[in-house]
Amino acid sequence: MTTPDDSLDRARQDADLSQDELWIRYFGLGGMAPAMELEAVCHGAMRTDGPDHDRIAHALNTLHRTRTQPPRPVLPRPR
Amino acid sequence: MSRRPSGRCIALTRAPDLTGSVRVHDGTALVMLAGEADLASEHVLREVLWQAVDTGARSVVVDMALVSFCDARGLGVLVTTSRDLREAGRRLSVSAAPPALRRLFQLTGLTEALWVAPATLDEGLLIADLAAAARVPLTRGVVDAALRLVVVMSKAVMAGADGVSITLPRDGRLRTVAASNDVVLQMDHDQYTTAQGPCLDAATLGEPFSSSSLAAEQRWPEFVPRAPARGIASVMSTPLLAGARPLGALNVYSRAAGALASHEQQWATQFAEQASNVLLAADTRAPHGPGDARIREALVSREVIAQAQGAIMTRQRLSPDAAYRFLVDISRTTGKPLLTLCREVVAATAPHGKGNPTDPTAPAGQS
Repeated sequence: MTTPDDSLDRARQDADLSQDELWIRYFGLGGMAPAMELEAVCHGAMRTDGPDHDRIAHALNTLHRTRTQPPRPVLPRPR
Repeated sequence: MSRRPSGRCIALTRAPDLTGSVRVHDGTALVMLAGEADLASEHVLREVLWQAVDTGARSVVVDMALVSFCDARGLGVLVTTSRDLREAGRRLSVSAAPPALRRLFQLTGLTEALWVAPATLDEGLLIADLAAAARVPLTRGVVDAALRLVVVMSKAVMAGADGVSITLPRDGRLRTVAASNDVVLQMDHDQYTTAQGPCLDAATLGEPFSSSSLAAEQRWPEFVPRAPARGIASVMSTPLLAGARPLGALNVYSRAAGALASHEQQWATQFAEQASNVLLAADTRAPHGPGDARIREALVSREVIAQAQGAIMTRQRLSPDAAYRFLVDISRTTGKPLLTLCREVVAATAPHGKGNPTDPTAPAGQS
């Protein structure tokens, strides 16, 4: 239920993805949070539920797979 | 970073067990709640709803996605506020309620009183964010993709709907710009060729037109006799509006007479409002830019994933979240991109699927 740190934002920066680009990918995966809220979640300023965390993680991990840089996978939420 | 100036938070109320915020977006007061709505937090719920009512917005939407518990006191506050708003010609609706709360609303018979809407009704509000994030205007291509998404979502959540379409004036005549299947496309076309029918009336007069039983319908004598051959028994057309000016219509067709429950008819109105918002935000004169492709890609991806999610929900009897996780798990273990996986699920589920109909989510030997 909680992500009290900014690990998602660090992963976003590792992926060289702007906040807007991440939100578009997250939206494409069915995410319902507005852009501003996603930014808050990435910075640990707001909590999100498991499926939404999965969407963000999937958006980042998919990008890692398409690039040559060593991946730093974002973990899915524990069940 | 994009911001939504019209959607800024205007009030925040906190208590140990419940936090509520209010923001206003496109004339709707959005209330977000997180925590437990019960005796201990009743005053917070009441306060935050008052703040939303005080905005003067015609529609107050209470997002309950993060509410884990709601007791009789919480329900009481919601029902009282809903009644007060209704008496003033306004309305309160609850969106994104988790399954446990949704069951509570059903058990207490409050689903219709509270106008409990599925989470997908928030879809249209995100389209403006999408254009802002991609820093492009909503061009015609983007608008059409967004309207297709509204059609897919509305058909998915309305159990009584066998097909949904959107009619808009294009190039001097009415056309169907989004349709969930060929039957509704033909139903729309029948109305265009006979120059009569509920979708034409709704799109041109700006009022809802419906027939709960076309077999007994006296209006539209040229169009109605064509419906049985298409297997359609009832229809509801809701106008898309800019104020009082008609922009088009959202058409819901059903194979059975009286198929749409009253709360589904209300949802149709809300989906029509979402489609209207997309049209109002559009700038179809703007040239296509490089951001268009990204937006269209995101909209198509979202549509395909929603369709696959719906197929898994039906087949495995899973909640939307569980169905999404099911798909993500398979994507993760097989290394197959989620979108590719979902395309295969949709193709395998379609009644006349094209290409390889093998369902990658089916257990071995069952695909």
